[in-house]
Amino acid sequence: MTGVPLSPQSRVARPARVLFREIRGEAVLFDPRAGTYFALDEVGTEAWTAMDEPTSLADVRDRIVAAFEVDEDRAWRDLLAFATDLVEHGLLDVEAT
Amino acid sequence: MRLRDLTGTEGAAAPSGSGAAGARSQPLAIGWGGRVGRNVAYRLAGVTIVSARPVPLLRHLRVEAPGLLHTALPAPPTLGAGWTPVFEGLAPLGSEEVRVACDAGDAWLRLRIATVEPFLVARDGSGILCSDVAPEGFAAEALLGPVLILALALRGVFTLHASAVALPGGAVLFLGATGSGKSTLARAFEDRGWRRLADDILPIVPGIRPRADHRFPQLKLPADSQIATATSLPVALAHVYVVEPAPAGGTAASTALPPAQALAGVAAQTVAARLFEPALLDAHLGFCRSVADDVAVHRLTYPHAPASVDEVVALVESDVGLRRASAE
Repeated sequence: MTGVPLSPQSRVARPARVLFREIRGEAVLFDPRAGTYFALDEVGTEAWTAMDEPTSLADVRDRIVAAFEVDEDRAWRDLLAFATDLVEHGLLDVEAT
Repeated sequence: MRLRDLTGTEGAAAPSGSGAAGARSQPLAIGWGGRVGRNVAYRLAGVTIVSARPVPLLRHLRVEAPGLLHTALPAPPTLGAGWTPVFEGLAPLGSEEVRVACDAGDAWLRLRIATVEPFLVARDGSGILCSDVAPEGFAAEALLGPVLILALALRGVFTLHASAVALPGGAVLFLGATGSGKSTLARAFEDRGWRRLADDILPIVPGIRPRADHRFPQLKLPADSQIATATSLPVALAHVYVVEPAPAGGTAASTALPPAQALAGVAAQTVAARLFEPALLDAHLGFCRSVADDVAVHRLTYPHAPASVDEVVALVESDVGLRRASAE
C-alpha cells in the first residue's frame, strides 16, 4: 500500500519483475517474488497494457473511455478500484510526487 | 475491470538472474567429473541426451549414440566464481521433501540438493555436469528430478505435476499437488481398461499440438512399477484437469476454465518452476499459454473419497465424449 490516495494525477508504473501474458482477451499476471497469479478481464488487460510505460491514471482512464465507450466517471471509478487492488498486491508502483 | 487472484496452494517461483533457451539441435550432454562423452544416448521429450556413463533409470529410452552431432558446453566455472541465489528452500523429490538451493553463475546454474554433491546445469540448456561418482539411489533421483527437469525446461520442454491416461482423442492429464488424488484417478481409469501414462511427473513436448512424454521415470514409483515402455511414443494432449479438493460435503464437478484461469492452473503445476530465472519464467508462461490455448482445461472438484471415484470418472468420460452426460 502506498498510503497515499490515488488521483487522476497519480503516476504509476508496472514493476519490472511482474510477468504478463495475454490469452484470448484476458490476461494473467505473475509475480515471481510472491509466487502469485492474477487474472485480468478485458478492461483490466487494456488498463495494464496502457501502463506499459510510467503514466498518469488520467491517461489510462482516457484510454479506457476511448476503447470501451464508457463515460469518464464510470471509467474512473472502475480504474480507481482496479489500481488500488494492484497497489495492495504489490503489482503497481506509484511514483512519489 | 477486475483483478482476480488465481494463486492456488502450490504457486511457483522466486528466482532472479537471466535464463536462455538452449539450442535444440545439439544433444543435452551429461558429464561426469569433467568428462563429457557420448558413450550412451537416450531420447526423451524430443531431446537427445548423451552421457559418458549409463543412466540406469533412462535405459528404456536408449537410442543409437549420435556420433556426428556436436555438443559444446560452456567452460566450467572457476573455483572463485560468484553465484547469485535463485532459490533456496524445501522441495518435493520422489516421496520426500528435501532442501534445494539453486544459484546462478555466468554460464551455469548450481543445484545443491540435500547432501548430494552439487550438480551444474548450463544456462543455455546444453548440458549437466555431475560429480565423478555415478549417482545411485537418492542421487540418481536428484539427477532425474530437478536437475534434468531444469535442463529440459531451458530447452523449452516444461514438466508438469500430472498423472495421465490415454483415452480416445489423446492424453487426459490430472494436474495437482501431492495428495490431490491425481494418482488415484489415473488408476481408476486403468482399472477400467484404459492405459495409464504417468503417475506424477510428465514432460510436455512443445509443438503445434503439445504432447505428453510419459516415458519419464516416475520417481515416486519403485523400479519394478515404472509405467513406461520403450516403444510407446508421446501422446497429444486432449484434456487437462486441474484437480482441486471439494469442500466438506461437496460433490464432484467439472467446470471449463476461462483462458486466464486455465493458463494459471497449468503454470502453478509446473515442476521445478521455483528454480526458473526471469527469462525462463517468461518462456514458461508462454508454454502455459500455448497449452491453455490448444487444450480444453477444466477444474475438477474432487472429494477424494473412494465413493466418489465412479462419479469423477463419469464426469471425465462425459467431457471427452465417451458417454452422454447424465440427464438427472
